[in-house]
Amino acid sequence: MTSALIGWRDEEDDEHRRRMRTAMWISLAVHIGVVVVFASAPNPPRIRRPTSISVELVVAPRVASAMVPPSKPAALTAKPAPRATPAVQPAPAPPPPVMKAPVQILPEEVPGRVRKVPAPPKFIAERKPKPAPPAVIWRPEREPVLDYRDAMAALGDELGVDETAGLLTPAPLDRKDRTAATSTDTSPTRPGPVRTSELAAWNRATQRLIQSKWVTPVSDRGRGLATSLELRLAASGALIGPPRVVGSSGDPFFDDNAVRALLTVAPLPPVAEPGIRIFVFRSEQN
Amino acid sequence: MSLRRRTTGPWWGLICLLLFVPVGPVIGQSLENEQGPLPTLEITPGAVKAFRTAVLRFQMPGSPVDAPELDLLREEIEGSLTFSSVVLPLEREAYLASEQSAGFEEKGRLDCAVWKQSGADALVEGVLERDADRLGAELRVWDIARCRLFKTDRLTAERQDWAQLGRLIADEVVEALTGTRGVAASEIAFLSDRTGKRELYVSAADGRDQRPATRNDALKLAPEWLPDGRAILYVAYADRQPGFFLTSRSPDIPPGAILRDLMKGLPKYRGRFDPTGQELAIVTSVDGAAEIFRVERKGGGLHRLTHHPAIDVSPSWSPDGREIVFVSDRSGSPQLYLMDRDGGNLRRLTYTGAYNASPAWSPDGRWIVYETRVRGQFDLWLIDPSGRVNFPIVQHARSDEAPTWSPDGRKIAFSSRRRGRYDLYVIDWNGDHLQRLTSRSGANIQPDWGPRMR
Repeated sequence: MTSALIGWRDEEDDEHRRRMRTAMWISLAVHIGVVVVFASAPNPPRIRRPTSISVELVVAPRVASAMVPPSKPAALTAKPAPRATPAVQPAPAPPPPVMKAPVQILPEEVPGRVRKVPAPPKFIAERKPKPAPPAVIWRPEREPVLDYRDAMAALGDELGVDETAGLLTPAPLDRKDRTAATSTDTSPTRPGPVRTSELAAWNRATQRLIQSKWVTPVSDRGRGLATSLELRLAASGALIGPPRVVGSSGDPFFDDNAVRALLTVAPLPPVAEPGIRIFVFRSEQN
Repeated sequence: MSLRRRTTGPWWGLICLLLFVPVGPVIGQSLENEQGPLPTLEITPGAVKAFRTAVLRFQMPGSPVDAPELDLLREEIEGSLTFSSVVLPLEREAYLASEQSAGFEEKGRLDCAVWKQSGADALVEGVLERDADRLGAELRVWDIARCRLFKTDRLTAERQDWAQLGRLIADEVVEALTGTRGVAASEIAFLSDRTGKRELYVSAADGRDQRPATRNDALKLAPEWLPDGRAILYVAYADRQPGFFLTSRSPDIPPGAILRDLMKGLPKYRGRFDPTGQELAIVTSVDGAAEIFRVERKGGGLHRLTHHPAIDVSPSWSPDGREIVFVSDRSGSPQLYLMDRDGGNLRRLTYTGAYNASPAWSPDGRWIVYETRVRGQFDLWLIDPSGRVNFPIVQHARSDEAPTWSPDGRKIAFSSRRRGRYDLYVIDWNGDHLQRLTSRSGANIQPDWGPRMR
């Protein structure tokens, strides 16, 4: 490694230390602030817990009035669904609360039929009623929430072919890109998919850039050559120092050719995570 | 106890600090490696198969910068680079800097950034010298990516042979960029009946400068270069039987019949030099069946390598001289077989194709090219010596025959009847860049690619 690389490494360390120091100060200040806020805040008024809550079961107002004539409400209560029968019968002893199960009307069902939500078990009536469960309120079923891709696909179906789509979204990754992208996704600080797609895009751009300049004579084909180069990248994509052969192919010209390809295309595209990377150049298979 | 600890604590701290300071970078380095595998990106080959080289107009002291010889040399270099198909000349329209070499004295004059922008991988410049009977060139090949010299060299040629000097320079450039010397300055021997008699001819690798190498009326077959390029062996029907003859361009090697006394009375059909040029694998007829023998060039040390009533012909040496591939119909149809140089370890190589013939082992030992009959005509195929990989490289409705490798293993020359009569062609070993070498009347057949000349 050259002295230039060591120098860069030192500068990076300094920067890292500076950032850590700043972060610690900010963290300390935030902690102190939180403690002060809690200490100076007045005590909140205590809320009394209610001793009992009376709940009354009522029949829900009819929604599909056009389907069931309003003149026959008795028929509804008189002919409950067999399953709901035990719920309608009140529990014996402790007198006060007479609970009635909330009623849900299902639009799919036959008009006039009412399905009651299963009644609370008997022991509810035997015990002191605790805070009452919220009444079950029927709401019309919502459509499932679409995720972004589905929404865009649906929009695309409506609007027709979007010719600009490929310009903004990264092209689908091939197997190698995916592997590389996954292997580089080690940062715990940023959401995974975002980081992966960012790296995949960078990998792809870099790969294409190098492929446009890396000369691979046909005589190298089928020789199974591979050379690994270690390079240090600045955030701008510039190479810090020359690439270093860390895994030789055994053919010095193949190695040298890979190094020259990198030097020719440098600087690489700006990279989100500067630092050391390994580029593996592989010869063509048969 | 506690008092003692209190007094020694800072010292221990200082010692630890002193111990860790010098090894800090080492620990940092190891930690860096232990943080897990480094981000890795795999680069696979793209579509670029050839280097681009800028060829500057050479300097010639005492001559004007626009002397026609300088342009002639430049065109020869560019033409030979184009023939190589692995290093191509940079289009002159792309030049962003002067086409004229400024000479070697001026330091730091080469603007690599500009040449890089022009698309050049390398740059060639030089200074020419001319004396009474020789042309000389002091050559410099630049690596544009690193902006440093690839190599310097001094080359010479006959006084008027600008073409040969250009070929030699081009081969140097190819070697600088690929590690394997180019073959523009090599030659190809072949047989042609363009004058009505079948004679042996020699041409430059790109097909230029075709000239006869024999002038006798005998029917000739199977030319074979001596590995050092000083002579060519061929089979001629003189004395009513085919025998071996040499045509030579070296005063050390007398031309004429050789091995005349070897197996007297038996016809000799083919001779192939081993890589050292000291031994030959020859085909002769014993008891009505063609058999392969090994013999020293001077005639001694005869060894019979095949013993089978079937026909065994077309031997070709491996580049290390340890094995021989040949054709035998012992299985019922002509197929390729391998054997050691002493005839042992015999094994069959091809199992596909009803008629496989004319094998030639590549200079790097990785491939054997051969012709195989498909629907009554021959195509060229490659097979690796293990027999696992076998694929076609030249397929045509008309016959492609008698393949021979270039010395760098990048090209294959062969004869083909695709234009109605036999002509010589050259193709890259992957099937690209087909070029026709001969265009005169008559059949041009049985090429044999000679060694590099310098």
